[in-house]
Amino acid sequence: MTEQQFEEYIKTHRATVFRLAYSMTKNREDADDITQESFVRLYLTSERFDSTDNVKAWLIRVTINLCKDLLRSFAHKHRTELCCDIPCESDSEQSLLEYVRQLSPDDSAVIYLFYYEGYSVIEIARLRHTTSAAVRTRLTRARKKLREMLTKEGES
Amino acid sequence: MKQEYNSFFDRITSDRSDRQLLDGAIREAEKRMRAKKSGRKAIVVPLAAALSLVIGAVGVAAAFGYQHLTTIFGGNESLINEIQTNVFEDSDGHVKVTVEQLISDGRHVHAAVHYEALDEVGCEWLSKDESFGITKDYINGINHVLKIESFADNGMAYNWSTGSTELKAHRTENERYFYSVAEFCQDVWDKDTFGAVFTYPTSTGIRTANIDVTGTMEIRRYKVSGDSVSSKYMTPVYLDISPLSYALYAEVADGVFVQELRPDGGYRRRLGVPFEEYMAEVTDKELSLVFANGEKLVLPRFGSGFHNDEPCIWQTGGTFNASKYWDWYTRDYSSTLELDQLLGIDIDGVYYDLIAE
Repeated sequence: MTEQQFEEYIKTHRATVFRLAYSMTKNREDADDITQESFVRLYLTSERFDSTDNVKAWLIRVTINLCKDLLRSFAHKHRTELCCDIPCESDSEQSLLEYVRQLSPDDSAVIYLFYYEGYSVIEIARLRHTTSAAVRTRLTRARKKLREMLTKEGES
Repeated sequence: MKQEYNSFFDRITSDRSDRQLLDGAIREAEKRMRAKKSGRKAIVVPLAAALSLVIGAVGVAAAFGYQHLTTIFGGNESLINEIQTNVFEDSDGHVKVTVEQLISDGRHVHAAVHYEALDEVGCEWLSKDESFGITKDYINGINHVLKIESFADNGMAYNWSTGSTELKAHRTENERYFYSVAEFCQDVWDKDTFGAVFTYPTSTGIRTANIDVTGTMEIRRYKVSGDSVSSKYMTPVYLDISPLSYALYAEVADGVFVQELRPDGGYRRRLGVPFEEYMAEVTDKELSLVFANGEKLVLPRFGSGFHNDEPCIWQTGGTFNASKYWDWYTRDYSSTLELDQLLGIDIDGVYYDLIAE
């Protein structure tokens, strides 16, 4: 691919990749590293894409895999937790940040792709090479967890 | 809540500019391309290199290891992104065991396992082949003590094969490396999440642990289409294929298997045709994938299914040509399987179209 094409891909998809990586890793620096790695792999791939939607789907898959690798790594499990790095504008945003942090990486990814990126259940299933039933189950459970957290917050 | 969630994520942005990302990514990509051209193995663990600033040298050493799977799959773009690193680690105080790399399509699993002695007791234990159940009589160099297995919900093991071979070239006084491969049976395929059991010896005994081998690799399904007959017993129905493995499903002709009443009142399936004839018709067929450019890829055959469900597995195995079933070390996965160019399958000289589902 040309540098111009690559620059277009970065402009178009960088935010999606970064936010997805952040939703799974809960850490800005890790999300930056994973974003760069995802685009390095895009630059190096010999895969041919029919459309920019295909590029986005490819990037999402690679990003999810990289996040999972990082979260499984010995290095990640044994390092000191970095402090919170997203300044919040309000108490409700702070609460939401805490809820997002408490979701598992897989739940976060599905919630992000469904609510923020607007993918359908079937599309998410294809992206994650799983079944629609599995995605629906995960969405239901993640929403339930968020609801429980919000309810507890309300009660306190 | 959706609105709040979206507003929240609207504000999450990187501190790096697009320009910084572009320059950094191109610089890194060109570095890897130069490394590849110069003949050096392109070790694809840039994330570990970046993390070294955070975690220090010890963590990086744990992240690198020998990386046997990168050696095997490193030239294959379909697979390099699928390799997971450091998926499991355990220590008994004398020996540390790490599954440094793992790649899986939920049906075939390859893993690179690293043993490291932590003290003299560990060194002593590691120096003995008996520690790994290796004796001079063990078959084909395959170690069945160190292994990854799948289990169905009823507790039965469901594996076509599982075991490990040692990478002897990398053995030192306090380290040993193993390459572990498992091929699971149909009953445990296609689960949403897939936990396998990793069995590994330590100086204090054999241990087991659950590891996730779900994988995110694409498995494509093709309908097998054609009127020709390649076997009087089996009619191919569809083919599942990933960059790691394939499974050819078939409907079985009436009479090949028969149900008979067991003494305890239950039923069992047995072969209803002569065994030699069954082997010739079912097991000895050569399978090849046919591509749009005319190339053919011979598929290795690892097993047939006697599964109760129809269609059953006719043949299954690793995707690439392996001259010997047990010769895992020399498998060649360096070629990328161009699934978009796949046209058909040849079963012992009989051609069938493959139609993507």
